[in-house]
Amino acid sequence: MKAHWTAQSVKDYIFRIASDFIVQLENKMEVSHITQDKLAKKLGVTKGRVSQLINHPGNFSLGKMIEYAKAVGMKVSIVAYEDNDPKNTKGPIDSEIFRICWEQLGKPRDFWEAQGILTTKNVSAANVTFGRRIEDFKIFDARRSSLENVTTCPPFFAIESFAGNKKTFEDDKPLPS
Amino acid sequence: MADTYKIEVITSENHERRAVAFLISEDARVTSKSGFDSLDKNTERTFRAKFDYWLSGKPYRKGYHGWNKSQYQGKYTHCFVFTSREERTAQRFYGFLCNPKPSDPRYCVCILIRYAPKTRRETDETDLKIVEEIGILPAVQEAVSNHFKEKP
Repeated sequence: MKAHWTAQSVKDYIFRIASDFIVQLENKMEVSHITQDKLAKKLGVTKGRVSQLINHPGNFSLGKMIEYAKAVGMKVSIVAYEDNDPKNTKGPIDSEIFRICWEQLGKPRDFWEAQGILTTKNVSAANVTFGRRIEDFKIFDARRSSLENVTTCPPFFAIESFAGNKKTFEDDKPLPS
Repeated sequence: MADTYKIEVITSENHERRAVAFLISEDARVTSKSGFDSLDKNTERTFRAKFDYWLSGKPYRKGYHGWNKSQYQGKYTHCFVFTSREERTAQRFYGFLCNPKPSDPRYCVCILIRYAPKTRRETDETDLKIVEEIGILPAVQEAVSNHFKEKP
């Protein structure tokens, strides 16, 4: 199977994910009525510099992304994930997908909030958002479901609790940092 | 001698819903592939990212769009454009949309025909006319259906 164009070089890959970032930035600028002029003033740079970076996503450093995001009232996270595409035939998942899923799940701020959401929401949707990290929540919630009325638990966690996977229930395993 | 037409897919051929392809021909009006090959690396990557976005179903009016029935008296509803706006020039790839797989009518391909580097922002209707003219040629239709012919 032909590799995706971002598999050709790290620069190509960087360009694509920086381009995803710029689309998010531009969308935010549009809804917040922030022109490139305004953004340049906030950043203390020329409009030409802003335009140059927006038109050349490959020149964005991580530091610049954080600065630009802050200037429009946003933050940046880096998400590593597995998508069963080790040869990169499909390209990266758009960062907007991660944002949408996070917002759909009620914007959890930390693992405690995420855990609460995962016990009450559709787990398959959560799995899409959190990828492997869902594994980290399984033990926690399986423990809870063994202690509480299992009929109120989502099937996913109920299955976990009946699967004999109880060896770690005695201790609260620290959540991954 | 009649012009011959070929299709070259630029995006992944394995995408379930969409693909972007160049029409290749000796016809001087068909400039998409040669135009793409002449792009600098930054602009090439910009367009590749936009092709990805379209494949993924991302709403992104600044990067690509079609024309609806209320525009140009509905003459170009099959036409589609990918755009890149840089400091002084607006670069565009014009093409048409088609559904070449009879067993999968939702599978959609954008066949790019024209490359147009411009200084003005508005679309030149000439490009749309050329796309429309070329897109309906039986030889082009045949090239498209042959390329996307489903294996038995």
